[in-house]
Amino acid sequence: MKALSIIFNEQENFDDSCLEIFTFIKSLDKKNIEITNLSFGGDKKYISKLPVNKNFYVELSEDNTNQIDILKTIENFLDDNTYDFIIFQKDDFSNYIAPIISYKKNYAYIPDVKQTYSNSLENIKFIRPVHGESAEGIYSVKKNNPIILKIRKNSFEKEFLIPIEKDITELLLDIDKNKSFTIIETFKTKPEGLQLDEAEIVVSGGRGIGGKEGFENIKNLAALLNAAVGASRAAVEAEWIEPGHLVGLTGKWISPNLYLTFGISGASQHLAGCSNSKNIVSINTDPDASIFKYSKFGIVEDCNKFIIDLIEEIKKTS
Amino acid sequence: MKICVCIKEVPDSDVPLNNLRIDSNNLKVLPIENISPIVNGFDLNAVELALKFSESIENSTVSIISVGTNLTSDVIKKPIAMGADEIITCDDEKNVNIDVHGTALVLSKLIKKTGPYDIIFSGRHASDFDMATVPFALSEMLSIPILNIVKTIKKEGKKIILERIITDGYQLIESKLPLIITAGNQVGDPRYPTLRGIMGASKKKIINYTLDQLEITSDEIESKVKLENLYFPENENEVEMIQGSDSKDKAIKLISKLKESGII
Repeated sequence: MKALSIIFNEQENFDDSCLEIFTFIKSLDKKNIEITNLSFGGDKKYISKLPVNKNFYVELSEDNTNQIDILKTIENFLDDNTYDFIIFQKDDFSNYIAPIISYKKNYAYIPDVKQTYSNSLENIKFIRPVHGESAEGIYSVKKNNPIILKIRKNSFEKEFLIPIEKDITELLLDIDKNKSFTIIETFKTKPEGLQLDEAEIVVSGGRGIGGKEGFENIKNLAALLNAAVGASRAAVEAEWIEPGHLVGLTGKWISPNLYLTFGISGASQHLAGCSNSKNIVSINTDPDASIFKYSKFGIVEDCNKFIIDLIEEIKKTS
Repeated sequence: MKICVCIKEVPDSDVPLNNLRIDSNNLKVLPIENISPIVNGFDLNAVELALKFSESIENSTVSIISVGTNLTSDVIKKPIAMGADEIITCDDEKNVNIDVHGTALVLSKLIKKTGPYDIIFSGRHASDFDMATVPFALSEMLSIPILNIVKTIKKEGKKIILERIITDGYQLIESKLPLIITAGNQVGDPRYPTLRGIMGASKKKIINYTLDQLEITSDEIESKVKLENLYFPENENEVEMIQGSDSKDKAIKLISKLKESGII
């Protein structure tokens, strides 16, 4: 079985969640497996240690890399190489490139895969959430048809890097001179404080917080716990907090050790982004709020009052 | 400027989990009660973006395009009530189990038949199967480039300038036409239909093409990917509700629970 992983990293960075891809590939077939990696950008020190048989690297020079150039590079690469599986992970580049490549190169395409099962590679089934995470679908692919999968972050264990740096073959980005669009500038607006995907604790507020003032308490509690600040779509759309804090289907996907929610009801599209948290603790006035079904501890209380008491008590005990 | 927006009729996504059922014959998640379907939320954001754009350019028309089976006329006419000009569908019973591949193929034929369009809008993904694939497949089938998750679009002379949302920020982009654009909630709330709009929409005739009229065979809409089953995942989590005399008491108990279980 031949598999290709396609990984994107910002220049000089290495997001180790890409190591989930290799655990996933190894789960597809125990023996006879040849893994090729094609990396765009990232720290070569780490990429040279990926557990793969062949390793290709394309340098990205700036923030304004155009997807069309990446597409062209992958397309040319696939002209000379065929694979049974091509695996992407959910990120801005993959969301754009994976479905297009599947059409250009006649691969079947299944996004957001969180699990597989099979008794043989020929009968393999893929599980992905549907209907905003409320249900799951089991998918199969026509026999002998090559497959492109985009896997979900935080769904698989991370494979280990190998201890030595192995050779990487460098490829050049194919620049398409007749591009239909050009990126004039990229603006990054990272949220202040600890980043959502790095924090061990995340404190989030939702509609029940009631306004911008309520988020001051969320921020205070987060600072006290060395936590990142999250929010539901309702809170972001009401402009109580910047969009960079959004947790959910269209925002960040997090898996902290502790996820503390205040005034979040638990719409399925929010649960999509937080259900991999190890421990969820929820405070809501509505005893029937669906977030409680996913929580370890639940408290029915006015969240704005409770958060002030909680801050006070934490200060006392620390 | 000739503009079109691709929309999808989906089950109401606001129905809570305990009021949903699985239709195992057609492999769909549906509400238990007879709740009217809706236009996919992100598609309405796309309609809003398209209408705003069309208002800034003289002699623009906005056509709505949709594919499905037994479409609900009042539902899919909502964009007309919001201000779009016409609605074109392929409502055909053979579309009953159509997936992303078939949908994109039928949309591409409808677009070729009624176009060409300068810009094609759609939502970033549909709330029923969350595939986020149709607009990209359409881009390949029509050989028209695509920009995803666009927040604003304006015309400056011959140039089209767009703001596209990325993780942790946005990009300023200059593009040529034709172009496919997907939109999300960042566009802002879709406008409410006016009374006049609703009256106009009720009189508007839906222009329908069958698969036969589009010369599409059932084989062609068949996908390489098959949905075999749908189920509600079991939730084995058991929540412990913390009781207490007042908010302060509950806060104290929560802290000790979190410490006991080694979470903090």
